[in-house]
Amino acid sequence: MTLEPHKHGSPVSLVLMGGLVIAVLAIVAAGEFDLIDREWAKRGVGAALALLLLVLGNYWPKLLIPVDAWRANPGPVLAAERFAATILVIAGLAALAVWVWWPAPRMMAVAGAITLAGFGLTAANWVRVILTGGVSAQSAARGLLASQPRLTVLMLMHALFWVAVIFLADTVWGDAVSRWLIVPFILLNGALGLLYSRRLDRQGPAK
Amino acid sequence: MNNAFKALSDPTRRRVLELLKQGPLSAGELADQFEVSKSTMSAHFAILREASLVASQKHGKSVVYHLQISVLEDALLGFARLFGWEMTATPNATAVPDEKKETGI
Repeated sequence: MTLEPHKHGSPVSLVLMGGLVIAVLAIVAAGEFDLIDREWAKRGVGAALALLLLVLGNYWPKLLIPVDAWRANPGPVLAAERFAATILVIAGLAALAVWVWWPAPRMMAVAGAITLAGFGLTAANWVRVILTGGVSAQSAARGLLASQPRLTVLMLMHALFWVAVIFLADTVWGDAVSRWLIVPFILLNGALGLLYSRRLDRQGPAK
Repeated sequence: MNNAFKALSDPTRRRVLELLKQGPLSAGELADQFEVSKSTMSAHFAILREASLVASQKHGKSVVYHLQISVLEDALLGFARLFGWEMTATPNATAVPDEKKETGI
């Protein structure tokens, strides 16, 4: 069985994703140097991150799953993939609306909760598929991590998940708790990075 | 995106995408669902692949297609299905340039 030559995504999507990451950094810097109002800087960063979630969710189904990950029981896996993408796009849109319109004191917590709800629904659906759809956890994970572009997007989504956790924790418990949340993020991101480098070693650079 | 609009403008191609929502299918299995020639179906597959709406994998002698549509494209597909949208610029949707035809069946 051979894979056809395949486009992983359009240059427009890649430029958009890179542009959003740069926009986040630029807005943070502008806020720090008081070039723009602090609240608007916060809103700008939040909106750019919500937009990134939206773009990543929209882009996710475009990333190829190798045949061994879905051929055995493709229906439930592909349905779960589409569900996940749709939920993340909706969560991104809702969070974007919150960052633009919600009153300042609670916008971080509400946007964070919406993003976490999106990830939670996605994870719950995957658990349902594994328990009732005849898909093993191993093959679900293999599909999730099937290619380098998927792993790259997964790492970005993982970062967005922890940003949402920190936003929520910062509003509910304050700085004392939220600053410690960087520790599990770094550890888990390191584990994902290890998976990524192993894949690079095994398969060579992405085509 | 223009390729995606073009691909989604034809009811046969939209039906192919709907069938692929159930899971991957071989070119033969897909062609059996339509009363058109295999070369016409191959041309439709080529347009769908060109628009990156489907991906194909060789499986022995057959070619297996699976869906590869983004959430936005899925929404456009739903919109097109709902309103029966067809591109007026290409009245004969099955008339596809010869160079796009491929032997995927």
